[in-house]
Amino acid sequence: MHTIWTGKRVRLRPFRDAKEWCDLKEEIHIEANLHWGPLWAPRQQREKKFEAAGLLDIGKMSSFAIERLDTGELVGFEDNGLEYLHGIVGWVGTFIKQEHWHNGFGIEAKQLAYCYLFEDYPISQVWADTVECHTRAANGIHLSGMKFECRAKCFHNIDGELYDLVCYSIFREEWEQLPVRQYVTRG
Amino acid sequence: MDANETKIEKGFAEGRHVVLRPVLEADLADLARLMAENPQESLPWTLQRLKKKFESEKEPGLWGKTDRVFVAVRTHGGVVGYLTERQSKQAGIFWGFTHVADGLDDRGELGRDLISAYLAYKQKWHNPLRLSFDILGCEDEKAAWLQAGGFALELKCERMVMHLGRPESICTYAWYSDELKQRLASRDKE
Repeated sequence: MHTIWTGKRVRLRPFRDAKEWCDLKEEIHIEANLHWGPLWAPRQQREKKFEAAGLLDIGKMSSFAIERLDTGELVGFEDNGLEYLHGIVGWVGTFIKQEHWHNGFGIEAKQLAYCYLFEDYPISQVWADTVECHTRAANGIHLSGMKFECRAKCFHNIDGELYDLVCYSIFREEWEQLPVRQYVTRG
Repeated sequence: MDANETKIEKGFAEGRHVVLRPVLEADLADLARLMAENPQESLPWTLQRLKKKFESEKEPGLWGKTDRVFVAVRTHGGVVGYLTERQSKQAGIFWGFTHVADGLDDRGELGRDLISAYLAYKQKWHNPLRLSFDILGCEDEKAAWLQAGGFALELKCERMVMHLGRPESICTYAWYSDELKQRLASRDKE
């Protein structure tokens, strides 16, 4: 099973060690996320999580480092997993450091994650969701090839307002048509 | 049964036919059988596996911070079903998964009673904003219990899990509190 997927702008690869992952998480989550709120977890807790399988445990949650190809910098992480153990649905979630926004890194990272999930697991579709007010994320999800699937009302509280959760998906047959399949390299 | 008719004692719910209460060690054998029957469970539950979970430090007694299991016991004794509750990080939002033993003559009554008892319990103690139950698309009986309890189909997601060798959808049935309905109405006006 491959562990590295390279596109035109970014590469998905396993984190080198717990330190690399924890440092990135601390850097991103030291502030409350604008849309999701505080996502902080203590370093010790994260280290323990990393120890189990180096974050490559599809039964729970996997996470890949997103590395930009031109500079080799670590720009974010791509979480993914299976929605249910007996399920045929995978999911992805992407975080890109703010200074690297608007370069298409998140979009390509998602597409590379689709390659990982569809090529290695017997799933029929991949899901992603975001808060309705997070338009940047929704645009990225759309541009990665996903389509709007459904809306769960009033799931998320931000500053006293309740926002819907919007869900998107891409089916295997739709992923098969994506251009990324023609240029992705695996290693 | 109307939620107002439900009698509640000692913090848990008593319906006409069933009582909802936390799991006791003596319930585990029945619970393992019920969990194995439930097509929504993604693990093959055995008594051994369930005992281990029951004794774990993380969720002792199957009563964790976010996930809590209730057994549904007939008012005159005997475990007939269960309900797993998952609390969201968001206040007032809860998910449920439930099952009543297959093949019982009064399964429909028990199922409806379980749902209404749970709803009354949540309303009395936890001021829920919204409650949701996920069921498989093919579980028509559970859908009927939920609809009878005031839940409505909110989402249907196709091809989510394998069931009896075929891809099956997952349906979410939701109940909104009056407060949430008001908020939604005012939001729609805007």
